[in-house]
Amino acid sequence: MENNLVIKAENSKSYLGFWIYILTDCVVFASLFAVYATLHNNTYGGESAQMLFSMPLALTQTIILLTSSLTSGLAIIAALGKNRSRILLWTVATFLLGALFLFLELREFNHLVAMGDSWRSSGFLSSYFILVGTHGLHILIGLIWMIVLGLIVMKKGLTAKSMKGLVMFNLFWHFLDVIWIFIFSVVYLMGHVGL
Amino acid sequence: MIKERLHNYLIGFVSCIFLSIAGYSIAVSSNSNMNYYEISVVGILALSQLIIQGIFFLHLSLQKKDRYRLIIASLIMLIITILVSGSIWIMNNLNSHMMPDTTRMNQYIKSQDGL
Amino acid sequence: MMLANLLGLLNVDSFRHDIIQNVGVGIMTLSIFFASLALTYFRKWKWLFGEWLSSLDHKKIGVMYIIVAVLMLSKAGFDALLMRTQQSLSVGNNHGILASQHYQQIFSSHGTTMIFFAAMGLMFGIINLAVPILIGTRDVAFPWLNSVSFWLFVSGMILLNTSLAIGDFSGAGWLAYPPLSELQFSPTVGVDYWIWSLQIAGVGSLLSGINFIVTILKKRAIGMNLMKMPMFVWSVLGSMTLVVFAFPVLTATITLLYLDRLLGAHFFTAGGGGNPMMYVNLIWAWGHPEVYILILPAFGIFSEIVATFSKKKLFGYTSMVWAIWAIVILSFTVWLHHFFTMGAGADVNGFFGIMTMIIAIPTGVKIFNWLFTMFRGKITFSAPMIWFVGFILLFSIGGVAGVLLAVPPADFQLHNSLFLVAHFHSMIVSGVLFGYFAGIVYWFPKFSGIKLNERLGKIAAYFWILGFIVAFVPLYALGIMGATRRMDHYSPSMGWQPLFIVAGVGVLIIGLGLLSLVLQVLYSIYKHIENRDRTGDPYDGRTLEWSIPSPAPSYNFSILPIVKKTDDFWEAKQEKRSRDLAYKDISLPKNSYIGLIVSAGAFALGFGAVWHILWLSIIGLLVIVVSVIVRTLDEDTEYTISKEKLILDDIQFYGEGK
Repeated sequence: MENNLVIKAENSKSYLGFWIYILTDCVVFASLFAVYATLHNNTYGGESAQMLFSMPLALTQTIILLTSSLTSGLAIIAALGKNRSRILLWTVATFLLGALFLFLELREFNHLVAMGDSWRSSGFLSSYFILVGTHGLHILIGLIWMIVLGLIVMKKGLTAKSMKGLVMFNLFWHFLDVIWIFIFSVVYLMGHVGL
Repeated sequence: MIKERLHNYLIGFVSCIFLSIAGYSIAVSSNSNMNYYEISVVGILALSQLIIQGIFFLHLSLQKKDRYRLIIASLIMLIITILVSGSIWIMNNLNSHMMPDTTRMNQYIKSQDGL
Repeated sequence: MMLANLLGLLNVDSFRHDIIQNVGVGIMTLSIFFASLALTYFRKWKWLFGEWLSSLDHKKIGVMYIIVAVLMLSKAGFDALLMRTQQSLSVGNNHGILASQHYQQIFSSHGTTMIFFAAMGLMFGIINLAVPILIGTRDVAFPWLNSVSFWLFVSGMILLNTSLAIGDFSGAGWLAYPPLSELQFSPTVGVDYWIWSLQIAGVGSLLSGINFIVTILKKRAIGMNLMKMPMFVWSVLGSMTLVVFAFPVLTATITLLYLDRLLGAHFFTAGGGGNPMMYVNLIWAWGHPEVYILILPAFGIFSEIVATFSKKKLFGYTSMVWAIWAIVILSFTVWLHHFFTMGAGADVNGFFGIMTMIIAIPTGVKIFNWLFTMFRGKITFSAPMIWFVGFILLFSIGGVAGVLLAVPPADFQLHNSLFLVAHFHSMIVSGVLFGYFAGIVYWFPKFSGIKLNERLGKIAAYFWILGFIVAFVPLYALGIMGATRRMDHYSPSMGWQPLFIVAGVGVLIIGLGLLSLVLQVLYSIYKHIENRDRTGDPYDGRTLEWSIPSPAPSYNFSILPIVKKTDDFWEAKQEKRSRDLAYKDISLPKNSYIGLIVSAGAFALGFGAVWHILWLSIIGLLVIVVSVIVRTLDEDTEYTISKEKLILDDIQFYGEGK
């Protein structure tokens, strides 16, 4: 199994480098969480988290993203089995789930802004939009990455490079799910309990 | 090896769904405002998901090939903990030494709405 | 966003400045013009682009970093001269040579340029030059990413300097605190220039941090365990770890400031639910690690220099390593000491004050270890050693001043006074700058093949040491006498003017020091035939870089070394080990212009963001994304060097014997 391109990719310098990059992205999110923690009660007379956020929507988004994490992992397993069409199948599944997640999120943002609760309204909303919005931006980047990756796998097949790209994407996608778990817990769940 | 990976992913997935729903149930069935017990439990559930996803999705382990990744990740988690908790401590402290409580001020502003 | 107006906020007034600024723009433009003229006359454009600007060789990238850094050092040094002149003259009825607005932009530009472009530039330059060779490998882990990092650094630098010609610069200090830096109180584009040149350069730094961590962890020579690495490499590993931890905080924080300014958000505004103190908190959570990022490699350089010129193994290797990691972790636990006076309670201030005192201890360990290394060694007081002696004296004094500042009640008196300014300049000039100058002088023969003129080198060091004392010791006194930083005018009754004049003279002496350094290099190159380094080992050195020819060939090592002990080259010489002549064909990365193109894209993105020219920013972003994808798809990125060429190169330098 040592000669398997996926295993080689996971032991490569690029994988380690990308892992470190992911951790730096965690620090960015940590800063945004710190800002949210400081500003989340500064509603400037407006509505608080408890009143604004829909719990069922948040849970739906969480389950969608968790499932997409699973499908992304299944794409790696397909790659281990050198099954090109299965890789594409699971990548498409991940893409669709990710796109659905983003669609729901953008719709919710639109709804909030239309109600007059935009990032300009208060410190609380500024910090909410940047935290959740930055996560959404990363999801968008992931979607674009999946398209490029899918095209490469289709055209060039399973090469050392395409497998490196696949495992790095997988890391990225899992990390996005981890961040979301914290957003879900801190912004939505704890917000609902009145923190 | 593929079977092992598949097992890991399925165990991880099911556990995380369960943990997410557990947190959700606690939050929506909550009656009180600012119940520290509930908040702590939600926090612990989130941290558990982090560990589970770390082990089952991100393949963190004590094996030699994963060691650098584990060390770097642990260091960053330490730094993030210091950064976030330090900032919260400092900002809380600063805010409490500042002008009157803004939460009550905001509630007052809201209560004046319509007058 | 001005969608209707294609040029955003740009208009004719953006190009109008006062006389001093116009002189600055004139000098900049004329320098570029004459440089282009020279390149055309000597027909060196192809050489410049083909050999240097597209190079992925870490040594060439290192040299380019250093050249840019020294240019920025000169520019910011000139800012210092302007400031000192203003402060010497502007007393009572005299208001000096600079308007207040302009003075604020100058001290902001001085600090920003020095930290982000002079100091970081010198640091990344030396790290690039030295680390791969010290660990016995051919290049860094990601050579192409290395090139992108350098070009992003250049892009940020160009954006910063553009502010001199088009628009203005921030007047909010080198850290741009809100509410002053918010749109309400800084309505011009200055703060946006500050934000975006830092964002772009910051991404470059972050990528370098990742690059060098992976290089050090994964590309060491066979047999070189972590505890056998040269101490400089350990210090770089620590510093790069800090880069990776701290820079994301900067990225996040200044993005939020930009969003406040651009989109009317309320992160740090004085109203609307914003909290300006949060900015100060976060920016220093980055800012404190940043200063340790700068000093750790300088410590590492001194470790190499002291051991080599004492002909003795570095004392206390293990304790040095622990000291580095103690500094790395502790540097994240002290940041509040930069804002003791912002209003936290005694418990918070006390905690951070104690942690600040504790972090002085590992540095103390290092200083004693260097001194113990010198004890009973065969010492040569070469130019690098003079820098080291200056460092030991001046850095220690400044450090002790820092421990005084760590006491919150004392800091309440001294915060933002000239005492503080003297302290941090002691750290940065006699610590960071002396260290990097010493490193450049020390490793100069290795990357150029030319030994530097010792006499001019010592003169330069003496000027810097003397100049520093004359320029900054008065500031300690002034600070205690009550003088605040960033002052552009004061009353004659304070009695400060004589000391300001002395400080001004000090800056001139430092200027002579910088001039001597440059002269040393130019003169040595002029006399390059006599100064040729013919052995590759001019100091009878200890570490691997002295085992290869000077200048180092593109591939560094014709045969990758196998290491047995610490200071293995020294040990190999003592044991008279023979080389295992296992020559092989090797492959190296081809040149690439993508770094340059990404940089241009980043500049467009930044310039558009500053002037609210949306289409320009979008084009810039697309250029970056497409370039990265193009590079990812590129299959043909390496070229081969045959083993015959390697053998020939070795024979040519060392003669048949080796």
